[in-house]
Amino acid sequence: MHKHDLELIAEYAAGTLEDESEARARVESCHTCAQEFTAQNSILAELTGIGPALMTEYERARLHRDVWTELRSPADTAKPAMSSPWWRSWSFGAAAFVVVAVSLVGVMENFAGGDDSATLNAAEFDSGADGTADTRAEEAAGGGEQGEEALAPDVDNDLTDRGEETPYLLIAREVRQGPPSEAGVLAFDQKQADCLAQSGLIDHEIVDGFETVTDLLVAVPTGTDLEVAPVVFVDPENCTVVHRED
Amino acid sequence: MTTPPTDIELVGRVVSGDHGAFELVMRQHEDRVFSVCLRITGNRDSALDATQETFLTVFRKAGQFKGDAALGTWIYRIAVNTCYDQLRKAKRRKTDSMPDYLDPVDPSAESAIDSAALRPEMQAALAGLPADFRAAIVLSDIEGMSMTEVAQVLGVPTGTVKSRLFRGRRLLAEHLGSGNHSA
Repeated sequence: MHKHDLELIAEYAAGTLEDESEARARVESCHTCAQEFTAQNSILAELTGIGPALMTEYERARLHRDVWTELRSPADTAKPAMSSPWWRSWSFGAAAFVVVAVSLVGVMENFAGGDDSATLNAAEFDSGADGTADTRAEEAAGGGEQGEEALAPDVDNDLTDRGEETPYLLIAREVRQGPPSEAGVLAFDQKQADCLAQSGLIDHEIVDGFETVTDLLVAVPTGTDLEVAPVVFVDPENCTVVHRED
Repeated sequence: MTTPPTDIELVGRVVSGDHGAFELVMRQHEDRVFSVCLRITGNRDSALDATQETFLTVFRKAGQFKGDAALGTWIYRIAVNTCYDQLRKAKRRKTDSMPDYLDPVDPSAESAIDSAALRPEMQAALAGLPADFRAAIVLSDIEGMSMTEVAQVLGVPTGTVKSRLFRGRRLLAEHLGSGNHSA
């Protein structure tokens, strides 16, 4: 039986089909369909019959005690942050600065002057991926070319000396570090989800909240450990995969 | 007579430092957050930790809530992501011994478990599902959320939710021995 048929039967069992006639006919005429219908039905019946799990009053009191203790601790100002913690980490701040510098040098080289954004687009990522971005960063740090001198003093030489460093790697490393409570908590964006589906990544989810700014969508296979998840970069303009880690 | 505040108004008050507003947000959503977390993590202590972490994140990130989706949807999205984090951490520290500073076991928890218990076989089968399938099944089949809401909470298209539900239920059926499938 075709996979699509099984999904039809599953929807029939869940009662979510507007027109059930085709599914009903299949169940009546096909033994495998009937078995699938029975299996899905029995699982659904058991799951939907379970009531909500309630907290005990002890657990509720403990929850409120612990939340307020945490919020009133000196480390917490007990007032929500209005903006994202951009300079939370000096190392990532430095890394982000290098990326911005690379972007600016790229813009200057093209004499375009039209895009003064500090974010990374697909083309800049590609230039980084083939190694030219690092060359640009080193040129910026070393000076000698027009407009680069002003950038040199603040560039972290340690970062620019990492020969294999690419913007893809920078972000992938941030993904691996798994920002504990920052990633993936931004408001849901249906357009981004549709874009992922359009690029064939239906079992991927978008991760967000990085220090390195990018226009690209950053996705990982859903439910996989971030430490080992292959990171995929999607251009939101045309919903195509521009880089995929092995 | 006063009308209850909208989500945006309530969050606006939280952002401005109104602790009473945050307490109200907690009261409105804590039971369902705990329930979702318990079904995903399969453990009351982990669920309580995840619920706590969820509300701390809600408080700290309240300024990022734009009202594109319902406040509850946004909170459950944070809760599911927090549970994923818990599961990852639990996997890493599997071999660690139990710390001795945990709060004592709540004696009334057992009756609370009984009132909404999954039979052990189902609990084991659910725990054996990939986390994304499990989350879809918990939100849709156990918590009764609509397909659209589940899609928003998980950040995936509804087609993906349908697929995860279908495949998740099949795996459960196979695990429980009630399936006889040819894939």
